[in-house]
Amino acid sequence: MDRSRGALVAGALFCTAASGYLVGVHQAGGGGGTPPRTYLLNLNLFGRSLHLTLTVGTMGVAVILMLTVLLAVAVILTMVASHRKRQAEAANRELETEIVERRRAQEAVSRLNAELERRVAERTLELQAANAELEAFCSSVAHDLRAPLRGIEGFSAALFEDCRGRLDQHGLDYLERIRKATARMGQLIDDLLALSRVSRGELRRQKVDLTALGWEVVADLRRADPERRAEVIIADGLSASGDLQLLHAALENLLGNAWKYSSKQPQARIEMGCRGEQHGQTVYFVKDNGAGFEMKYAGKLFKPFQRLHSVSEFPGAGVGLATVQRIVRRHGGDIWAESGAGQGATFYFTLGPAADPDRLSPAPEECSAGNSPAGG
Amino acid sequence: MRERTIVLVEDNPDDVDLTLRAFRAGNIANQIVVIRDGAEALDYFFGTGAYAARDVAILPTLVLLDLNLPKIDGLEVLKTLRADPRTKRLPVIILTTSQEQDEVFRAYDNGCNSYLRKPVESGQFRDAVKQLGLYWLIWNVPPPESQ
Ligand SMILES: Nc1ncnc2c1ncn2[C@@H]1O[C@H](COP(=O)(O)OP(=O)(O)O)[C@@H](O)[C@H]1O
Ligand SMILES: [Mg+2]
Repeated sequence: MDRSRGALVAGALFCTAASGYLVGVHQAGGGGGTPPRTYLLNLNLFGRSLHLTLTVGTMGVAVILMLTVLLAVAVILTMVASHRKRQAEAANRELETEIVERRRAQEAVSRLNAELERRVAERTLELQAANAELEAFCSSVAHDLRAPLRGIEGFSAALFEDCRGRLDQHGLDYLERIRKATARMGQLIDDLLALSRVSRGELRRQKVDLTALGWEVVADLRRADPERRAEVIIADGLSASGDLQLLHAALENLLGNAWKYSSKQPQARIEMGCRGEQHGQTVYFVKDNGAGFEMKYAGKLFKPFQRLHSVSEFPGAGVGLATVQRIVRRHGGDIWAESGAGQGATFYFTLGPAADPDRLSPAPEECSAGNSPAGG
Repeated sequence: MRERTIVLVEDNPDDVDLTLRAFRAGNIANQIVVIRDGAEALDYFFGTGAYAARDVAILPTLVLLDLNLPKIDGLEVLKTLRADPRTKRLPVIILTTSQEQDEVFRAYDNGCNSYLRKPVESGQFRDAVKQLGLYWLIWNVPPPESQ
């Protein structure tokens, strides 16, 4: 910028000097016939005139030469400078558009972020409201549905006790059926409540001794059915990180099923352990040698109210495995089964990536050594 | 002074009848006062309203309290009983349908002596009431009367 202005000034200087020189030559030439030795320079500098008297011999030529060189340098410098300037300006413009674009993109991103946050907050509120509604619904189911049910059950029992002499065999049979249906409905309501409870509340992970929990559940099963003979094997040292209450409910259902569906075996055998890892998650299993099921129906297992056996074969409402699936999925894990009709069943489950953060579970070699289900 | 009365606070007439039946079946012959809502329960214990004539120094042996009651709910009744020096030690058993964790916590936090969920199966309900009568009316040592 400054350099090009300097060159221009030099150029202008040269032009005015040259014109002044020519004027001087002209004036001197008009004065006499002899070649002049003294020149009158009339410099016109930016509108102001400057009168100089110069004696020119070689000096005039030197000045002109010098000025010519200066002009040439100035012209070259000006060209270079303006070229650089154009380049810099182009780069600047590019940079500016880039900055503007970037700012625009940033604004768009923060706008989208704000929008996203707003939506998440909105959805969270909606979800919280829906959850609260669900909770209210559940306790009203618990209270409002169970109360009339207790009435039906209680008064049919009263009818049986107080008026049984006045009822014939048919009447007594109907009464018995009313009571059985009521008991079933009571169980159903309880199961549904347990299912919905699984999805509520926060998951409180802690280190859980699955071996001890399994034995606890088995002890409850034995207490409820003291006549029953079944061999139960639970691998030592099974542990996981999970919600104690939820894991208790899961084992209750899985071991309860193994207990129930092997009840017609003369030598029932129930086994719980772990079998290596899958995607870095310990795979646990509960296995029995009971009735089993055909694998082509396996897709139905985990849907609420779907059963693969009739109530007359094995009682139940069909909500247990749906509950277990929700529990393991809430932990980030999964559940699947292997079976065949009459061949017993094995249910495998994982408890998510956080299940053994600091190797709470036995190492995989411990898992596969001796604890794996036969044939699995 | 303590009457050997049982107070049953319960609004559902079917539940009242079934509970009375269970008491009879369990050979529990104590007098049973049935109260139908939370406001009436407070009137009874503090001698107000319809019970203005009642001597409030006479405490029942046992209170069976439902949680879901008209007007004033069972939990509120429990809180009021525990806040009053006359009734703060009265044995109160929650006898209700719900077994929601939060509800159980709240009942214990507010000083109930026991929490019983009414089973659907009448045989179980009868057993529960009979055991409860045996335990609270015979075995349990009640808080000494402060004359
Ligand atoms: N260990 C098992 N052996 C054979 N079948 C099983 C086993 N566990 C579950 N099932 C089948 O899966 C169905 C769903 O199980 P579940 O949800 O626990 O309901 P329920 O046990 O109440 O029937 C059962 O009805 C049964 O047909
Ligand atoms: Mg089941």
